[in-house]
Amino acid sequence: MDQRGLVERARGGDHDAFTVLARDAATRLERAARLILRDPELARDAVQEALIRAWRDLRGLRDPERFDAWLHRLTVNACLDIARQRRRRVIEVELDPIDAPVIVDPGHAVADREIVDAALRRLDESGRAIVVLHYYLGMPLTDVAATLGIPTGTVKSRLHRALGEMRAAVEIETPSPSPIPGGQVA
Amino acid sequence: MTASERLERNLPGILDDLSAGPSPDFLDDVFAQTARLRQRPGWTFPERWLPMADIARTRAYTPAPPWRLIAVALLLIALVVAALLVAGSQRRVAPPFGPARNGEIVYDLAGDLYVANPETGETHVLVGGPETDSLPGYSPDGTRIAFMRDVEGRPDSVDYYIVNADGSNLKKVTALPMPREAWANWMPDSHRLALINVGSGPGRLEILDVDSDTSIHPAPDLDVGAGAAFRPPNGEELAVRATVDGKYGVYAVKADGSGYEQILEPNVPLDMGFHAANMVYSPDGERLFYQSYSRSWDGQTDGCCQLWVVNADGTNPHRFESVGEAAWTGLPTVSPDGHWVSYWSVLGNSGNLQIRVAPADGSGPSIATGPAMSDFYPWLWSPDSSKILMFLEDGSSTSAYLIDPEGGPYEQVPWKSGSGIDWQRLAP
Repeated sequence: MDQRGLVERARGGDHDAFTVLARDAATRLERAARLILRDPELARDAVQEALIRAWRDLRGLRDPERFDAWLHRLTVNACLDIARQRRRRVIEVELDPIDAPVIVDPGHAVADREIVDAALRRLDESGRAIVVLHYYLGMPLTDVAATLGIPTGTVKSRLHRALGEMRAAVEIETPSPSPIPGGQVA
Repeated sequence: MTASERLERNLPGILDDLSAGPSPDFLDDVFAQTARLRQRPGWTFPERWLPMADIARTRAYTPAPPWRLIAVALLLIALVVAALLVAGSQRRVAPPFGPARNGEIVYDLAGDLYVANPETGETHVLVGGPETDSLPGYSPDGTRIAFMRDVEGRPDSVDYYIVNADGSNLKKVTALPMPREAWANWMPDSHRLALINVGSGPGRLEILDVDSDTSIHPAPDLDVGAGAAFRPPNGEELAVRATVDGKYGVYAVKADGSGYEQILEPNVPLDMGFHAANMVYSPDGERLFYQSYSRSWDGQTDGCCQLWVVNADGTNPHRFESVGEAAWTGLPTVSPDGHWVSYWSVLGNSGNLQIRVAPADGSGPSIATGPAMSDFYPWLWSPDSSKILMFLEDGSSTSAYLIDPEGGPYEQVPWKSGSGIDWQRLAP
């Protein structure tokens, strides 16, 4: 059964259909939440909250084709809610290192990963949400804006700023080509 | 390829690497919860019955509304509306000088203050009680009344009070009792009283702000007599009679205390007590009418008085009008419209007193009007200049007269009063 059929059945109260939809999306949602919150435990909480809301409010979704976008929005909103609660409690959260596989990259992959990781940490949660929605979940900027409830122009400017920081870091970390005798640049 | 281009191209993959972790192991808990959780009914979602997509849709290519301009325009509109509301809520009041509409008449009677409607003749008590109140006078704007109240146990002393024209907000304005002979009148701004304390010592002019309860003494070295004339157009200059070196002179005192100037030289002996005792400015403020010491009507002895007029700067003092048989002319008043000056006149040996009215610019002869009297009585012009209201006491009756300034018939008002009487000015 395709996703649309599952959504329609789940919207009609079929819990099994919902579990199929949730399992398909869970990994993607949790990884997005990790990127936004930079905390596996909080990311888990955010996804749980998003899935519970999804089941409860599924009958409010008019267009089954928008299920994924809707679920992403619920997840991002749950992440931002948790981030706000965390700031209010003024609790210093120790960020666990993400258990990522070591990638052998003869070029600059490892360096770039560290740079992006550091750059993401410098952004706030809403800034990270923009990057994640657009570059990780592949949302058009207009959908990112709709998901976050902010103007598209704001999305563009914040994304530009985030990328600018990453680019600057990459330019600093990457050594310049050595000049070749004779004045040519390789 | 530059480093930044490489970064942007690889960013999705890098993010995927960064987000990697164990598979979600919490889904069973989630499903256990959702299995127990009832879904929210569809009808509770506004999106199901409102066209939310249309409502929330952002119009492409539509220029953004000029919110700042709109906000400024709305603010200006709000300010204009507020100004109109404030202006509309504020009661229009009569100007300090010039013609006004006739309002009510306040008078004293047996120690209380009453108000009469001159159109209907109806009266009511304004300020009653056991106290003895007298000599009420409306502020030029018609909103308040000042009056004198006897101090209990001190028959020679009085306090001054003010009260709203409707009888509310009674307030004592003088801190200490003043001699009964003291003189008081509203300043043209209707916020201050001019008080002249003529007790046993030198007379002192005081300008008392009845709202802030502050006062100044504008000419502390002048020994002023009771009475003052307020110079149009703003009344910030007062003509007073003062005693200098044992003679009467007339001076123009600045109400703000910035000084005073001589109008008439102090050269009249003090036994001419009526000299300059009553003065009034012409409506344009350029001339001052006063009763002046002069040779008596028979030319044999010095006497007082005749009606004179002098320019406000003290130049060109001269007798205003020569009424052939008049032995005495004085107590001038000017009609609010500025057309007429009225004054008492005593004809020859008859001893009869009668009001005379003459064009204020001296362009024509005077006429006598109202009843012939055996004594002086106070009178005043109606705010619209159509009547003269004169208090009269003829033994059994104490009713005021309404007199036609052009010599027509006169009549008595239907209520009785004391000698303190005043006519309210209303906005034209």
